[in-house]
Amino acid sequence: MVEHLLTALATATSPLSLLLVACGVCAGIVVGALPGLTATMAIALLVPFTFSMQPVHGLVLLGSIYTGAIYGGSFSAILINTPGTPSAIATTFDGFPLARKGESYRAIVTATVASVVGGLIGVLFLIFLAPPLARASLRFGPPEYFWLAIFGLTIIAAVSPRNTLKGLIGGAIGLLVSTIGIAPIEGAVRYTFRSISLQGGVALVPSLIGFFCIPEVLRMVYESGSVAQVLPYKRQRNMLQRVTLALVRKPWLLIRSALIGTLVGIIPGAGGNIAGLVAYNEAVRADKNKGKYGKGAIEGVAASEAANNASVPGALIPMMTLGVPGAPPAAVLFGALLLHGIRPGAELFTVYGRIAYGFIAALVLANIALLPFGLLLGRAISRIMMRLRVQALAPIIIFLSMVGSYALANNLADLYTMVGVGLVAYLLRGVGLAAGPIVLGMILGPMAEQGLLQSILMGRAAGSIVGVFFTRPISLLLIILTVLSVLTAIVVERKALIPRTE
Amino acid sequence: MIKLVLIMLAAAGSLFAAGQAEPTAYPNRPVAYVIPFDPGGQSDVTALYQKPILERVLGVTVTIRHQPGAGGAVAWSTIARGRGDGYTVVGSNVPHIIIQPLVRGDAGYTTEQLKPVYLFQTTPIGLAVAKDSPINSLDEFIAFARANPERMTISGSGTHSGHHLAVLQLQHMTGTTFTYIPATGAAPSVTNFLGGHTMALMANSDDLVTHAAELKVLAIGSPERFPPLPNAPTFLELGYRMTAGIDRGVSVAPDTPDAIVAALERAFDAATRDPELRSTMEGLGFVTRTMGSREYGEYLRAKKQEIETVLRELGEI
Amino acid sequence: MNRTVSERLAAIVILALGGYWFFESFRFGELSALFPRIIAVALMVFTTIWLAQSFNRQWSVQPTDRATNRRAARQSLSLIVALLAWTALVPWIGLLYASTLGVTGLTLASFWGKEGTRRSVVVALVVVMVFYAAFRFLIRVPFPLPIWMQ
Repeated sequence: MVEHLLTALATATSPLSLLLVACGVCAGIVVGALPGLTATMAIALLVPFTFSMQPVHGLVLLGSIYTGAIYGGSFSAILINTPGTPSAIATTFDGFPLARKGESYRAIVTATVASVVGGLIGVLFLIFLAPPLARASLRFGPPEYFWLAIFGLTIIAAVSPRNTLKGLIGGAIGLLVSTIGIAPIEGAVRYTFRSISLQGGVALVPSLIGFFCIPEVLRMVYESGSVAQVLPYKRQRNMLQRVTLALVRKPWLLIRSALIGTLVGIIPGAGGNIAGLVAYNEAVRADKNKGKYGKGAIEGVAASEAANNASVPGALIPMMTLGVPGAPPAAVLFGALLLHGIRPGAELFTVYGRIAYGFIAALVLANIALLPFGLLLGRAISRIMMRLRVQALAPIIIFLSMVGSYALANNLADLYTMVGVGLVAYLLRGVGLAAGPIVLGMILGPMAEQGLLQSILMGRAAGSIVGVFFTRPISLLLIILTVLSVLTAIVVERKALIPRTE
Repeated sequence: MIKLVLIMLAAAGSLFAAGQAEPTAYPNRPVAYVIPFDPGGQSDVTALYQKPILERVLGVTVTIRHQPGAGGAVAWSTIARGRGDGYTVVGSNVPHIIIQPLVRGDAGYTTEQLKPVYLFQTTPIGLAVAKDSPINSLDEFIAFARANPERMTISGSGTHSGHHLAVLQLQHMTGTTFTYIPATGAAPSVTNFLGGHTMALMANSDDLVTHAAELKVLAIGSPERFPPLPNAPTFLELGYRMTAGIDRGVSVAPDTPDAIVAALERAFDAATRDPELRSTMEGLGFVTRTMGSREYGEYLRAKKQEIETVLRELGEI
Repeated sequence: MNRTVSERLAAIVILALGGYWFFESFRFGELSALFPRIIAVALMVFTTIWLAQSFNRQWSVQPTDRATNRRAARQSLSLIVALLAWTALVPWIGLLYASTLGVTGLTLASFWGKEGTRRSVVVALVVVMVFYAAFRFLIRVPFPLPIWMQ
């Protein structure tokens, strides 16, 4: 393996490779930053172009785009409260409040450093622990997915610190919305109100844009008093050093988040979005000062971004060792490998070792490249936005949202979904129902329902439904984590209710 | 202000002009090849391979797009209502396009609305158990199921899909009951099986070939033995009158003129007969078919009758 | 309309939706109905608690100043109407023209009279065209066209 790595490093640092990494990362960041365009879409768009390239070069380009796109989602999450890709949902929780306080650059720098560290830690797992981790990921069956989804739902508490009831209502609404469409088992057509496009369910990415972006833009417009400024911007020198120092002082934050990100990425079907959310939740739980989250804590941004970039190599682990993608973008990369006639599996690391390790080496470079390119692009985008007044910014953002929602599947219905959800979200916000819990419900609903129903079928076949849910080791671990998460939430709520004596 | 907006509108109009082409023979602008599933799947990979040859024959760019949802129904209902100008081709899968309208009340389209252009591929569906499973043949499998009704868990992709149909047919023919555990997609269904969460797997031939080292194929649904899996007996030779497989082709909107369909048919035929593409596809575990528009149409009619009868017998419709 | 009233209204609407979800589920098979039924019940329970809370004096929210409320409401309404009109126009006159009108309309509706509005409209329109061109020609997204061009 070591000679493979060394030759790989040599290939990866060839001028062509470096150029591909640079272009891929930049293109990925731009696509990731645009609301509606996801990493999956970016990779899928470019796979045909890589057909005529050498396999290793094609993979290097696609891997760099993947890395850049997952990171790029943080830009729009921070600047306009819209996750550029679903993996940046948790970044909005503290990223946007930071921007509102004028600290958008600080948030971007945090996101950058966290992404680089998270991604590199993930790649280490990919290099050294891929086969055993991939095997372990297979142990995730329907009951485990169910409990994972339940655990995910406890994040609602972290996302609605002062009003858990409203968070629960939002989560339940999201879960119900996720049932629209064709049922996973039995195939019943549910709640489609006779609409054919709803048979596919409510599209997630346009809904994300609607939930997070539209209410913010509307608020931006009507709150723009006499000053035509959008986001106050405080310049600060040496931001990079300061942020790095702050993060280095809390090493566990990044390490834990990267670990969570890698592990969640490994689980087939759970990707960057869940990784970011779980890492955010754990960051809140581990912190003594929980009140600062949701108001602009860079720890929140760091946790989410470290995790989502760690999920990139995480998702590649089962994909490369077993041919089982850990997340949708990895599935597209799998297709790209097949396109070049390379079948993932043991063969990939031996017969095609040069390609596999060349790809991995390029991932390392891509993560490192996030630092210069990310900061450059981040600063450029922030500066441009500073120059624009609300009158120009608001319609531009709305236009980009429309374009992004449409471009995903060239479906006008998606555009309508985005606008419709946006207006509903605006109204719901008016009564205190935030987007976070609803979106959590929408994302985790299908996982919870499929896990539940498949497990029930398994349980019936084996003679004990209770057994299938409560006697499997990984399930038990997840149940314990869920209980801990709920307990923490209850304790926090109790503390908030007891009036403090100053 | 108004003058400004008018100037802007005119400028915008010029952007349109840049994209328009003069009306000449078909095709004179890019053709969209819509895949009704998420990227990275089998339909996707095949389309990517076909793309360069299609572009060569048609002389225009072919852009691959994805429109997933409702097991393909979203893309199929879109094309059923689309314009027959030949600039959008959609991947069509048998038996999906037959079963969905029969079983779903209103699937958004009918089988007949998807005008067949070409059918280029079949993946036979096979039944497999784990490599270390005590069951070594289909007969032993059935015997176990008879002795333990509902205990045998079979993982498969989708409800009312080719896999589900195969399981139902097997149950019906042998008088046994299994527990079919559907996943939303081929990859999750294979993972469910590989992780030991189900005892058996109904899967497409290419998945069986990919993971051949970890499973035993008890039977395959092709009419004759399947070369990449030479040791797998067919259902037919074991005495079970059933075939199971997923066929992939392309279709267009219902009112597409025959001349355009013929042009597309030529392009896909060239792609399918290309020796390099053919050998790559077969290496991955697919069976090549070369059914043109008329043949595909007849095949659909015959298949629909067959499936309708089976579904009625099984009480599904 | 103060905050408490709107909360109660929302709670009632959501309660009704929960009820609809619950009763619709009886049309499906057992496995398809299980999950929606459980969640619908949970939603109705939570919403009832919310509704009950809104009657409790301690929990109600302070109403805000009437006058600013009315102006804000009018502004939000005009924004929403502009957004809806923009969306509705897309299938008829294509995304580009609809967005040109939408951008102009939205900006004027929200910022009529404020300084710098004119220039902002120009800037916004230019940016819109640049992005439209980028998506249309670089990524080749087939945007909806006006009906006379289809």
